[in-house]
Amino acid sequence: MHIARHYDCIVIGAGHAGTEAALASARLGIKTLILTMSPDSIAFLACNPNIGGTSKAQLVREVDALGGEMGVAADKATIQLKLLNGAKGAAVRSLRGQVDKRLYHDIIKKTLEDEPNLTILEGEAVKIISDGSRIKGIKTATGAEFYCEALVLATGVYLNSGIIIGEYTKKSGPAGFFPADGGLSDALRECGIEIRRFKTGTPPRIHKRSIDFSKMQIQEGERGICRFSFLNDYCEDEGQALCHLTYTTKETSEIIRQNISRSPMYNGSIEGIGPRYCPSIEDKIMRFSDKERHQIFIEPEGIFTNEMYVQGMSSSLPSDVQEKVLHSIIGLERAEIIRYAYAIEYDCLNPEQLLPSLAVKHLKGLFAAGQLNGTSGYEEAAAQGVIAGINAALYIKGEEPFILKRHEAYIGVLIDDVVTKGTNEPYRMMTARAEYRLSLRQDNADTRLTAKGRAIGLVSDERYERYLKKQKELKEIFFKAEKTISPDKALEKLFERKGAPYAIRGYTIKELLKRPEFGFFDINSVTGEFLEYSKAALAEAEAELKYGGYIEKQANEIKNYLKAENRPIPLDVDYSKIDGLRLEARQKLEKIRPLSIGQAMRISGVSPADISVLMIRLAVLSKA
Amino acid sequence: MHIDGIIAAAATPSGKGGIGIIRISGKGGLTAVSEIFKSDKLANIMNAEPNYMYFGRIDADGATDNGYMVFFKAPHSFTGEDTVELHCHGGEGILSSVLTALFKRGVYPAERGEFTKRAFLNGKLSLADAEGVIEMINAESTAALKAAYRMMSGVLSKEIYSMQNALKDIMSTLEAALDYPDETDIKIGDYTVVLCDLSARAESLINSSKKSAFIKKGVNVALIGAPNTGKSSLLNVFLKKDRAIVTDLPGTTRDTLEESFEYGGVRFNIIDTAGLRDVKSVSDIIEKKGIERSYEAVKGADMVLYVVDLNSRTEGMGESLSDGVAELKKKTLRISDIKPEIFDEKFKEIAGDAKTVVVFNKNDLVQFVGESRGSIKIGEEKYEYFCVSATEKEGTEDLLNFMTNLFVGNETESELIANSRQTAALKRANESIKTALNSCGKVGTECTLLDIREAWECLGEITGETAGSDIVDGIFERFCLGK
Repeated sequence: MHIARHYDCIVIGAGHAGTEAALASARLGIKTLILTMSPDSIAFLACNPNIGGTSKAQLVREVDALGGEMGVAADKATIQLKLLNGAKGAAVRSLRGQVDKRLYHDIIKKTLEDEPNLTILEGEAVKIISDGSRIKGIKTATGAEFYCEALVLATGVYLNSGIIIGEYTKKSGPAGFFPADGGLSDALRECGIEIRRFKTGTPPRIHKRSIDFSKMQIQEGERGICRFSFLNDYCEDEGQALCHLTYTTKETSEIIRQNISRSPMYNGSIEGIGPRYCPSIEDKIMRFSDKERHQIFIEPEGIFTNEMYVQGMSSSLPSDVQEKVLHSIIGLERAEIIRYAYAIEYDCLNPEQLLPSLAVKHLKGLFAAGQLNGTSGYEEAAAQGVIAGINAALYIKGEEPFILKRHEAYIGVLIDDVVTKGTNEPYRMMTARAEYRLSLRQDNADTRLTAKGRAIGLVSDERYERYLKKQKELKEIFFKAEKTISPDKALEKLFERKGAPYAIRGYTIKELLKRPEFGFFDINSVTGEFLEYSKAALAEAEAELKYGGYIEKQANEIKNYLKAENRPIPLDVDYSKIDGLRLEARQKLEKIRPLSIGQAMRISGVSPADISVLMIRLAVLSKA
Repeated sequence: MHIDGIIAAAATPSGKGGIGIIRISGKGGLTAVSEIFKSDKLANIMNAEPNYMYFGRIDADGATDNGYMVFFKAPHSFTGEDTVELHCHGGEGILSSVLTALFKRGVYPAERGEFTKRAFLNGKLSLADAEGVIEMINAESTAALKAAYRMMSGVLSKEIYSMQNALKDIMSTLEAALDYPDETDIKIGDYTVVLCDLSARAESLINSSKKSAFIKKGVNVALIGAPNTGKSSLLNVFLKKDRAIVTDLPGTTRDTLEESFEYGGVRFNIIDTAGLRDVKSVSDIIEKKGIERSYEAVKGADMVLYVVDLNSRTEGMGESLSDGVAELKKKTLRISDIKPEIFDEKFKEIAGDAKTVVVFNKNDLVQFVGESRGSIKIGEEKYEYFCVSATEKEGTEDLLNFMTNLFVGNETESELIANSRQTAALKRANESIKTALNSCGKVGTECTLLDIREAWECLGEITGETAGSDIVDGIFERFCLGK
């Protein structure tokens, strides 16, 4: 007799989306099963050995502020920490941590194991059990049946995946893990889900001893900067790991040009759509032929390994060409390859089929998160994971879904973008995509989201107390910032040091901070008022005060945005009965099924006239 | 599209009417109006009693008028929203000034039919009216589409697209630098130069829209100059009739005289003025008043014809030919001989903002050597000049053609004329570009980018293209980025 068991929530896939989803669901009191192709692949960093980066660090801190796990684990596994754009404005500053891949995996795996409500099981889902409108459970490749109220799909790059190295192809998941090719893709198609094929790639890993670091520039970590998790204080780590910067040469370009016919991307044997922002080395050379050299970063994969990641050399060229290319890079003349670069193709779904809650529109209880939704990146996956997990739990409890808006979080921007506009390539988060980014900073993710996470029930007492303490600090800092510093020698000296013209008069602290050259660090040199506050609170207050005028100006835009967001559209509108819409608009609305007029306005192909017609029809419907 | 935003439009038909009404609908409209309307009866406009008419003064950033304001409180208005009406005097000038002033203060130009749409959505119309409203919206949007289609091939659309692309390029580059701090090959360059250029281009489009307004309301031309330079003669030539009394005596025209004529499809409202001379030296009280009025007339003019008597005011300039018969004794003059003294000391003040053309009259009485039209430098500025003879009707045709082209332009230029909605968008775009320029270097690029983006979005309202993904696309088109 086959195994048949019931869970409240099942999560398929234990990558960065699946683990966050499972943890969120279990922590909200839902009996949860997480199914993985292999427990060794739990939270596996299949590509780059780092977490964070521009806009992605914002996502990590948002996940953390809500009570997710990525930030906590990343902090424990960090071997080098940097603040990108440190010299630029607070809104575009982002942490990036080099992490020990093995350690990161171990930490998340142990966290899952320690979670009381959570069961980890190796297995491959191959069938979806549903009654046509509602999810009932799944069947695994070994014949076991697991029943559930809610199912979260987070298959990452494993679904029907295949790797490509030149002429060589193999059905495989990343790094030699098994692919999920037992029938899940078809099972999803049978449920009416539109499946697409995307591709991505990873560079080679090489042996540390074979690298001539003397020809490269050292890239060091920093101290005195915040960490990913709001549970942790500022980073003061000494002896951080080193990364190195080197460059391709003319020879690199020549080798690639000579061998381009052997590239599967160029001879047509790869059909998947790859991301423009993660171009393979052959793409870079062919598309930007006038560029003389390209940057290559050498990053450690971890502390207990000599494997090094060659950032910038993602490729699907044959292995012999890869070696030649690698050896043409400065300092890598004798590099020993441990793992070859490969491209990977995988099945994913069209995110236009999802609601902003990440629920699949036409099948109740089915949720999707991560790379399966056409995104790319660990952080983007984790962000969706935590939301899908929360919403699966809320769905089971019969509560309203949790949806973050575009002015509240990068998570809101990310999800709204993919479910409203769809995507034709793996979607990467960028600060340029967030119109309200001045308010969506990594320094204030807790202020924005921790109270919400607490209301849902995901935020621990420890996290909430730290949050309350910071809020109290902020209140005091803003109050004191109105105070005037009277003219004296110390103030004059400060101006002198900053090269700013000094007039003998009093300056309010707020006024001083508005100047680009002044920060709380400087204020502390003339008044002791702020010495008692945490760096985190001062950093947030400083950003708020510096951006003051711009944030106020955006507040108006946000008001307009919310007006449209707050005009709901019922999910069951029969668009075929809405006369007066243009055909393209009708088809788009039918597919996306926006939840508000605001969301409808962001759909491409829906004109202002269509919106007017829709509003009038809805008014008639609601009165009829 | 601004759901629930404050909208405004002229509620009376365009053209010259006795009064013109501007309707402002939406919450907060009163606040916007309070900045341009003041009433002695109402210390604070925000306390306006609904349905009462208040007399007061309208000051739309310089354009002033006396008028009335009425406030209708929601839901007791046509749209069901708070509504303000401003009753001004008719005429395009003041109405468009008031609208421009409102658009500067967060009010949006109403889409055609938008008042009706709002009335419907707010339950002021019956359900049976829905079909009619939808029909109207779609008819308007079809009309707009047709207009947009016409624009597509037009010079205007090309220009706006090109400006939008230039802004997109700047944004893509700046955004790339923010999102890819590790990349060393992103060269930002001096985008302030491009922004300055874009601002100039926006301004030139805005000015072109003024031209289209001239076609409707006519061009106000002031004839100015010293006494007895032949201003009235010139007026008579333009009107093709002896309207003004012409004598050889200086100061014949005591008061300003207003007349209209059409030339080349343009209506010119021409004002003949009393000759300018130092008011203090004039004892005649009537002439004195007349001179003051001349200065007044200049203020309202779109164009000033500054008339100079080539014969009498050029003593000591050029060379006199002493041979021949006395009657034929003409002075020879070159443009380089003309000294600045012949221009009134108040010339600069007179020329002001209006387009000023120097008309050298009485060409028949001197021997002018060189081009009969060209440009002359007066002080720092260069001015167009024409040599004419009002009595012989020489050169006047050239002058009229020039005047017509100046305000209507040739065919390619006329395609560059933006309508009022487009002009409003262009003006907002230009404001944003200027704000961006002012903030450059003083704030982070992420702040400057907000203004650049706003400018780009304003232009997008005209072209209909404001997809944010364009910018992301731009980043990857321009730069080789990523792992």
